[in-house]
Amino acid sequence: MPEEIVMPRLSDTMQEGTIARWLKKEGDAVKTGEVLMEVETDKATMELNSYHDGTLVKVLMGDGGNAPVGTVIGILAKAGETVDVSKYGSAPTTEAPAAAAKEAAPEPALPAQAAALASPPPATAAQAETKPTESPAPVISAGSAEDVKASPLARVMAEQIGVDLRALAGRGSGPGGRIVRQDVEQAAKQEPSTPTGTPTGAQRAAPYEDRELNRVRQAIARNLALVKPGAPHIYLTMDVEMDAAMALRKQLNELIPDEPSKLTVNDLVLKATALALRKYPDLNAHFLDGKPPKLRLFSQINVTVAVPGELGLMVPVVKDVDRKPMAQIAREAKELYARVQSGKPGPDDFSGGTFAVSNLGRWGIDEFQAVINPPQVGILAIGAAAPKAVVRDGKLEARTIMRATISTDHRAVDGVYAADFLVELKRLLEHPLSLVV
Amino acid sequence: MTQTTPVTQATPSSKVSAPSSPSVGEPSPTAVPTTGEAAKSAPSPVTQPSGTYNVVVIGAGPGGYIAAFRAAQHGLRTAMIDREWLGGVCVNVGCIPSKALLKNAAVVRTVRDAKAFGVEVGDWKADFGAAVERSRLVVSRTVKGIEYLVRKHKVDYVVGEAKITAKDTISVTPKGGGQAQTVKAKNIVIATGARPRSFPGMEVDGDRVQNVWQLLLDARQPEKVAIVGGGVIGVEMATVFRSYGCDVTIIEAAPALLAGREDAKVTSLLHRSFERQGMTVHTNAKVESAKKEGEKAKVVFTREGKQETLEVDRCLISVAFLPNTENLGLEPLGVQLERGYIKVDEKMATTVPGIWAIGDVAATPLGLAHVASAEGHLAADAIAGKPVHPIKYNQMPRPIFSNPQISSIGLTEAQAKEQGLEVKVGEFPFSALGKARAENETEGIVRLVIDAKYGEILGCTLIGPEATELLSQVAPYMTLEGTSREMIDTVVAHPTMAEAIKQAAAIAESEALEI
Repeated sequence: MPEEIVMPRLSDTMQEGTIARWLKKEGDAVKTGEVLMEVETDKATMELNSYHDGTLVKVLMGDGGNAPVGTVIGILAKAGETVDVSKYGSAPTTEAPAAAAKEAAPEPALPAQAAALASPPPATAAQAETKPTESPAPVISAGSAEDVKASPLARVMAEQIGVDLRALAGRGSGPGGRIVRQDVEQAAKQEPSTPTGTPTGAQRAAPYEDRELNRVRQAIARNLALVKPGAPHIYLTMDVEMDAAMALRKQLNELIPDEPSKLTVNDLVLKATALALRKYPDLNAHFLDGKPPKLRLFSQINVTVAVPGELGLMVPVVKDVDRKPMAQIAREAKELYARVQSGKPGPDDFSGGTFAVSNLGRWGIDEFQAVINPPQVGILAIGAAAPKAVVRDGKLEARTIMRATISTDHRAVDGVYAADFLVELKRLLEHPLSLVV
Repeated sequence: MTQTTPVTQATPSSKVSAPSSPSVGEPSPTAVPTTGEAAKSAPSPVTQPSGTYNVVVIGAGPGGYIAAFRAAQHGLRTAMIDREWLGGVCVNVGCIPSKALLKNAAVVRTVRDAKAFGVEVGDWKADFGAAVERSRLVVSRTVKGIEYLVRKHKVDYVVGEAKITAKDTISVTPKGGGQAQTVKAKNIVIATGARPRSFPGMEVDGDRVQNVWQLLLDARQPEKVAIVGGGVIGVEMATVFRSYGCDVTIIEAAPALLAGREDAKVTSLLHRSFERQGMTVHTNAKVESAKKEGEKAKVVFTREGKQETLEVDRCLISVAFLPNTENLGLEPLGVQLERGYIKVDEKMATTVPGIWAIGDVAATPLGLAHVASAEGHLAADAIAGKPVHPIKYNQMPRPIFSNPQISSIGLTEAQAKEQGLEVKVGEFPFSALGKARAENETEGIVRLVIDAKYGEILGCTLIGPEATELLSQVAPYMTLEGTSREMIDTVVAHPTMAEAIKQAAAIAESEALEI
């Protein structure tokens, strides 16, 4: 009997889902456990694995299609089976005719092209025969929250509080690393709304994605640890001409009526950094030193800013820098620094940083090298924007030069990648209109 | 409720399997008779101590022997010392013999009520002495089982009075005196338990006024019984005697039975049930004196401002326990006590490194055999350097084997509300259960307390048929952090008593279909 592929319920609150993309097309052979498609839910993008061996004979809803949970979105058939797809209509979007496959009529039929497929084990065949036709819920793939070893109570709490269990996977305090109540409570306390938590923005995709280091990177990481244990820093410095940026800042500040929203040079640097990070996402990441080591790539860009505090260096975080207009960045950053320096930070002010910027320009420092805040993999050290003599077209000229030095964790990225990032940063600041469009 | 058939008096003053007579006055464990069967069994697990042990456990009760076996399982060289009882109070004069008596009592009730099932029994009699005899047989078999386990786990068993003379040295004096043996230990686990105590005015003579140890060894059936203290032991022994047709009066100082510690509704159901069974239950009653007078025991108590006197054949004093901390040599070593109990941390370590304490002697909540076992297990793991999860005392089952049975775990509704928790309570009566009706056991309820926000199982109290067994339907949910969702989703066999728990969860979550 053909198996219906239905829109799965991937979280308790999920009502409907969007097919991000099919990874199999009609006619493809599918094995149990293989990824069929990626589904976007209200929480995250998750992979959907096949529960059966067979051939994907019909896709009833294409990429980008949106359907309520339980809607039949595709048909899987075993070798030699014929499937009547007419009864499904073209693309049911509202009601799920989940039980319709019961009266399989032979016409019109699509032959299953499963010849190339190794014949399924008898157990699978038998199972397929007796399986009730109601929603053969596909197995939720590894990497989804459902797959993490956690107690039911921990799951309910995580769901309600907004803690992503995947971030705690394998590190629970229960037997065998099972996540239990106290782990969720602790995580909720430590990271009130970091990018590892459930994103609050309704349309936001997964807050991060973990990527294992490839073999070469793993070897690099291993070797570097012999010389530079911890996060092995490399430093790259580049001059940025700031004349255009300073001019634009002046113009914009004349247009911005309220004082708190007026831009500082650092606000321009923050925005440029965020936009450059979009292009070089491996720097907007955390290094997870596990086995195997992983790079956690964030979809949010939250910049940690080094701010002097009464007791020492403070590192508050400006959130979503790449998405916010300049004036908003300026205003939020000012308020944030004030809160932190007055000793009354908000619960969220220090959490969720994905990359850092330290600016000693105000103190007239030309150039310096900053230390990475682990597990981040990069920090930008910004010197003073000051007039310098430069050679342009063979002539000596005065230009406003700002020196930017990036420190990166060499385990995460190579020097060339960091250099490319600096080039992009320089391009953005030297063509500053790209910061405001 | 009256007896349909008179229950005959057992042979008077027969003390089954009690080689020495019960002590007079304030009891001490050594003064209470040992089980003869244990001594006779062969081959004896008693060994000559030698060398230095990784672990020496003092006390062979359910805490001590589990600690010893677990330590041995970890490959640690282990010895266990007890002055008297392999299996401790639990096996010899506690849990096990009382459960045997309660089974006899249940059989008596079955015969008594056989007519309800259309069975005409005719003349019958229930021999209380035979019940006590059977209970001793059960004890001796259980002790033999533990002897086997001692040998199996290769634990050296030493009999005698233990005193810790130095951090790593224990001197063991044989029973009745003699040459003391020296046992060397890297770790000492104190598992000496507790003993019944009485309050001023209560003169335990062992004959007419008895503690539970003495009572359990006494084969004489009384006609009139007074039970001073309506706690767990009190209500269980009241059940035994009432089933055998005795006139039973319970005198409890607290406003409710079970010292008012359990769910109020359940406790009041027990109270009403006892009264329906023909017992007299006085709460808020203070016993002034209880003492032997001739062949009777005279109990004087005050109730509602009036003094009353009760003359009975037997008076059980079941008011409190005292930890056995004396003569162990704790003070010179600096082992700190807390309210008389040995102070321990989450790993059961005392304030002196290398000395551990578990069970009733330790200053942890709940003096229950299975809690002692859990603590012994944990202490042995800690000694072996294994990672341990601290015991969650709110997940320890609390069984009471009265008729009707009561069992509870976690918080009662009142306790949860005291803690400011928002809860849902699911209450389900056994009378609504097909299986209960078929069994003619419809008395009782389940009260399940669930956290309103997350559905966490916070606690459960049951009164009714097999309540003590049914509690094991709830305990795993708490250990594994299952919620009301899983409890409702778990398919429970029909028709069984266990359906009551699931139904209670469904009621709490407003998903009930069958009530």
